[in-house]
Amino acid sequence: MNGSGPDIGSGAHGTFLNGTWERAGRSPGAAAIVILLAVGILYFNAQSILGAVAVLAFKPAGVGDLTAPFSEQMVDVLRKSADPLRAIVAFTQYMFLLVPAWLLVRRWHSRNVSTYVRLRRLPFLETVLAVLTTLAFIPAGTFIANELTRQINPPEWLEQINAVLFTARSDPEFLWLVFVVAFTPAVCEEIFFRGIVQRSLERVMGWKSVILVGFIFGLFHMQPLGLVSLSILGMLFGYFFFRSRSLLPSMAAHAANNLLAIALMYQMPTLEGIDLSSSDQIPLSWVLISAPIGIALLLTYHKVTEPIQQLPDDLKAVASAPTP
Amino acid sequence: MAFPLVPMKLSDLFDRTFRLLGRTVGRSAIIALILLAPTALLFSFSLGSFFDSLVGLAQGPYDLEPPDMNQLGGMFGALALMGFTGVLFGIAQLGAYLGITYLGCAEFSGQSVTWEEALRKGVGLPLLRAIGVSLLMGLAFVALLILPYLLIIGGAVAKSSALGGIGILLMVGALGVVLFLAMRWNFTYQTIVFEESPVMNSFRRSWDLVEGNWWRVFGIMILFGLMVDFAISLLLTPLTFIVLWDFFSEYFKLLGDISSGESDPGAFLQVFKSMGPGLGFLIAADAILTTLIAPLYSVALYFDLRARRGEFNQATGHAETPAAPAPLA
Repeated sequence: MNGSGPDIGSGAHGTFLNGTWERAGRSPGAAAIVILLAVGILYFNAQSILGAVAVLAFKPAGVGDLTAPFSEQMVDVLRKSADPLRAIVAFTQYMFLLVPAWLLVRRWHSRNVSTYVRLRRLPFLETVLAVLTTLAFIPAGTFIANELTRQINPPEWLEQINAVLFTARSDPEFLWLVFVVAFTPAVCEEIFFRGIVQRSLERVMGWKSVILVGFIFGLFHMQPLGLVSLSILGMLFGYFFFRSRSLLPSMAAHAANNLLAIALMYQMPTLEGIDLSSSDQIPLSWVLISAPIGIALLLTYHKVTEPIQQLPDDLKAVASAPTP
Repeated sequence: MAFPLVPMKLSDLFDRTFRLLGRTVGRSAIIALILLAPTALLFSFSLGSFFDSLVGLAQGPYDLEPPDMNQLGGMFGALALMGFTGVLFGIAQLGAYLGITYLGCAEFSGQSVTWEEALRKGVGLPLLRAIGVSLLMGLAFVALLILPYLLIIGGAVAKSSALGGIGILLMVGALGVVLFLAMRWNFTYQTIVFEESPVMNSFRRSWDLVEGNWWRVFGIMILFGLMVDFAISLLLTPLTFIVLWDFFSEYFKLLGDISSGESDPGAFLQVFKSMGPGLGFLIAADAILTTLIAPLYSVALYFDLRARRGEFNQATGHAETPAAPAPLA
């Protein structure tokens, strides 16, 4: 049963949507864009500044041979400062993405933020289906991103940067990476993109918010070659959120997607002769087998979840209220 | 429907700006495309020619001989063409800004105007006045900055740290004054296009509007500017990769060659050449996106300042005098 938890329309909006933005009858869409941009600026700048500080702080200890080629120095510096950089990634996700956005929702929309962002339980099957669907689409997404990367042919050392940062060399390091790469983005990014931005845009544009926020999710990763695959992934997460009216399926799917990537890099850096740390292309046959499975799982997900309920009248009134 | 003409909070300014954007984006896009697309194309083409002539000059078999005058002439010709098309593009951008500003002002005060009417405002007398305002503002800023700049250069040439230090101190002060004036004159274009103010009156009117609200205007302009720049950079990052695909291919090839110890100076020129007109296209895309949004938050702020000065009936939220006052003498 999907609609068991309290949702936006379960009470009079006068008591639930009690934030300053709501009381003034302003557009929820404008709030979504403002939060997206303001928090985005804060997050990217904080991460860049702290990241630069970490790299500079660890450079003297890490780099002895300044006569080595720049590429080797770069990889070496990143290897030495990998742990601080990972800590900064996690820290900035919580402190500069989640916390400011959460506080803005609390002030502007509702004091009951967890209900606003739809943090509510779901039947286990729905979450499992969301995870399986996402995993089935991974080969297709990887294929697209690798093909683009292969076309532009970046130098090998540039490709190694991600591998250096996100490959564990021991079990404790793997657990630490699970926290940084799988758990943290699943919580922070899902609450931010789906729970807050898509949630607010959904009130003014309905299902189209899934497409828009999926694309924005792709753009926010600042990886031009991964834009297509990341946007598709974002739309998939958005669809789970929209359809289930809960954050759990998209959180679980996001965590599973990232977890699989770091687990494979740790346990099987080469899979059937393919170097997973580079843009070695995966066989098309993998895509041709997994993509139809993904589509079948998506259709099943659609069937087992309830039809999307229209926004309750009181919420429609809030969303389209004229400015006083 | 008109927006209430009352003083606004920051959240109201955000809300009004996005609503205004939603209401005007179609008409604004037409104005921006009509004025900016042809001039941007010319600018991109001339930028490509300039890069080509530079690379041609660098690849010439001159050794230590002075370059051929024909080649040099070609390069300076391309530079002049680039300058001319750049100015043309700048004027078109100003015209689009004025047209969209008029559209926003009219919409804000409850009048719905067509894109043709707004376009006429962007290319008619208001454009000439706006060019006059821009030139005067530019001259004022240059006049303020030129002395400290010369002192810094003089200090460097004469190896005098005292002279250079004075120059730097004066430069900091001059930049502060420039910033102060830029905020006080921030609404000259709105008054030109919506109140039909002549050049000198637009300076006076904008100065009066900002009176007592300088910090507010400064903070809001910085905040909106940052947000718009961030949004545009998000959109342009993938576009940059698509438009400059050849450039990045060459660049990555060069990086790969350098890291493997093979560096060919000719490869650098190839990287440079492959930028081609792509760079011009990106500059144009940036300008078009900025022009669609930037005038609108200035419009919202302009009406907020007018409401704060009591120019509208506070009780009803409507204009006590017409929203567009009679032109000042």
